[in-house]
Parts: sequence; C-alpha cells; structure tokens
Amino acid sequence: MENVFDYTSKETFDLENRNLFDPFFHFGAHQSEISNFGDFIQINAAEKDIILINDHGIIRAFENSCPHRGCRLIDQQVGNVEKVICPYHGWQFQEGKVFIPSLKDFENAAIEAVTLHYYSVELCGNFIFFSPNPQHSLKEQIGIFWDDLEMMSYDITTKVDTNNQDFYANWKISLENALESYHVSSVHSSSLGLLGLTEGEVTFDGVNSLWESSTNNSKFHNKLLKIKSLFNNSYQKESYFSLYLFPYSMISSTYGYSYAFQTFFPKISTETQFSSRTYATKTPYISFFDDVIHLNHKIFAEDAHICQLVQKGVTSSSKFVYSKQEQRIVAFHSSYEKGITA
Amino acid sequence: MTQEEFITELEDILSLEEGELTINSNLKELEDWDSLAIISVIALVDKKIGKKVNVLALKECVSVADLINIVGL
Repeated sequence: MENVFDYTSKETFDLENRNLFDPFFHFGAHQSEISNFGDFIQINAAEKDIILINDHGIIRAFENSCPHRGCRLIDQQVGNVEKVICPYHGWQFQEGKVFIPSLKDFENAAIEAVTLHYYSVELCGNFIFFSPNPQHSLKEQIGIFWDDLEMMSYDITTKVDTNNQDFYANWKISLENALESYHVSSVHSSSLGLLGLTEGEVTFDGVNSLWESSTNNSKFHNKLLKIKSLFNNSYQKESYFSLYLFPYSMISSTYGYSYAFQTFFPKISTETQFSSRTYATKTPYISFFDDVIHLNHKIFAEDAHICQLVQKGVTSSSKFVYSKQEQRIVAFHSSYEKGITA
Repeated sequence: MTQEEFITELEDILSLEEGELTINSNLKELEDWDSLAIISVIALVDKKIGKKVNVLALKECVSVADLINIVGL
C-alpha cells in the first residue's frame, strides 16, 4: 500500500516524521506571542515537545528535554521564564549556553558537546517557523506566497484564541479535509456553509497552494465590505482564502479581518495534534473577534467529528476518487510522495 | 447626532430602505441584526458620537428604542 493511503501503521508514521517533519519548516507562532524576554510557548508535534522562547530578543526553538538525563524542562504550554532551569539537577540554559552545577564531577564525560537539541528558526515577517533539519530556506519553501504571508503577519496585532485538540484521525485525513471545500455544505451547513463559498480559484506553487473563494451570499458580502473601514490593514482580499504550506500548516481568513493559523501535526498514527491560533488584526473593535472565535470552534469541532468518522471508515483497500473541488488533495499526494521518498 | 440621523445610519448598516426602520422596530425580527451589524453600530457610535458602548449591552437590545437609549441620544 502506498504510504499516502496508510492511515494506521507506525512504520509510515515514523517515515513521515523523518522525511516530512524533520526537513521542512513548520509554523510555530506569531512574534507578538513571545514579544518579551523569557516568553515561551510549547508546541507538541510528531512525538516531540518543542519550546519557542524569546531569549534576549532572539527566538530559539529546542526540544523540551534536558540533555543530561532527558527530564522535561518546561511543563507549561505558555508562560515566561527568566532562565530555563531543569527541575531535576538544576542545569541552566540561556543565550545558547549551558550552566552545569558541579561541572568538575563530569570530568570523564564529553561535557563540552552537551547542549540542548536546537531547531532552526526563521521568520516570514512576524510569523515564526521552526525546523529540526531544514533542507531549504524558509523563503524557498514558501515560494511565491512569501510576500502575501509577510503582509498578513504585519497586520496581526495579537493572538485572541488557541484551539488545541486531538482529532482522532490520521493527520493526512485531517489535512485533506481542510484542503477541500466539497464537504462544506454537508459538514458545515450552519457554520462555514453560511458564507455560501463558491468553487473559487486555486493557485499552486510547488508543494504549496492558495485557495480563494468569493461568497455567493451577496448580503453577507456587502456586510463584510461595510466593516472594511473599521480595520487599518494593509492586506485585504474580498474573499475567503486558505494558504496551505506543505506539509502541516494552513492559514485561512475571511477578507483578512482575522486569521486562523492551523497545524495538523501527527500525534500517533491514528491521531492528529490539531492546533489553530486565531489572530486579531488592526482594529479597535476587538469584540468583533468573539464571534470569529465562536465560529471557528464550531467549524473545527465539526471537522474533528467528520475526520474521526473517516478514520473509522477507511480501509487499506480504499480506492478513492476526487472532484475538482478536491484538486488540492491530489496535489498534496504528489508532494507527499516526493517528500516521503526523498 | 439626532435620533433620526442615527436611525438612517442604522438603516444603512442593516441594508434597509430609508423609512423602513422606526424607533419601535424590533431588532430581533430583523434578519440582518447580527454580529457584523453590532460591530458596525459600535464603530458608528464611537466615531460619530465619541462614546464606547458594550457589545453585550447591544446584544441585549430588543428594539431600536433600546439602542437609542444605550447610545444616549
């Protein structure tokens, strides 16, 4: 069976982690989330816990594990620490250096080589991406969508919501669901479906793709246009759009008023570690985002439910067919096959 | 801003014809009285009257008269 249709095996899960997680950059956070010295967030992905931290103005990413004996260094999802100190034996980590209590007692160990397992960090505007072992620069990876993504990041003022939840489905099922609009009218009839999204246009660039869809609900469109003056944003589109960044990240927005940056990281072979970070843009009327958050939660709960049903229903002998509205899935399969065999 | 001017602005927000809305109109019966309309009213009151109104208070309004009362016209 092709790996792309394998939604259960540990072998494929491990292969994906090696060939897709390690060499690519993945979305982590917006700089506003860790703008102060010591601010950190934790990301759980591909059986790893990763800390993104503001270390005297430098954004660092490292595995949340002490190189001494493997103890988890930080046990919170978000917070602020002046120094990263291992709770087990007091090892300290700051500015890329390690401070070891009773250093002289390690005279027989290769102590100079001991360090945190750092990841590469690169920025697109104010968006932070990380990679264990990148094979390309972030700019090369993002391609023609770089300028758009950069502008979006500059319009963002603050994170207004984090929605972390496990989808009880293989990450490819969860991602493929997000890559197509065919399911919207049946799965999201009382949420996203109310926008009356059209088939829209897809722009492909290498492994990434942008879907832009206008609404055929003219009243809704007019309402969205009327509130345009309430926002002081540079990047505005009169459409719903979702930008997929291979392999695990997707950012979506309605008219650029708010953004939901989603990641579909593998948790185990049959579960996705889903996360969506909702960001506000430049407006003084922040109560606008309350309804956005409420709507997003409803949409993602509906997605979680349908993905679980797909996981329960797929069999290894499944032979699938795809409509035009599912063309991004076909493109994903092609990118996946290239990536997984690299 | 007078009450009449406010109602005219509200008609524009709610995509209604001029004169369609009265002080006694029931907001809950208007299809377009939703979160986007509420945020537009908040912005209108802020920009034209210089007053901050609470989104929850607006959501609890039943009639146009309630709105006018909250806005303080």
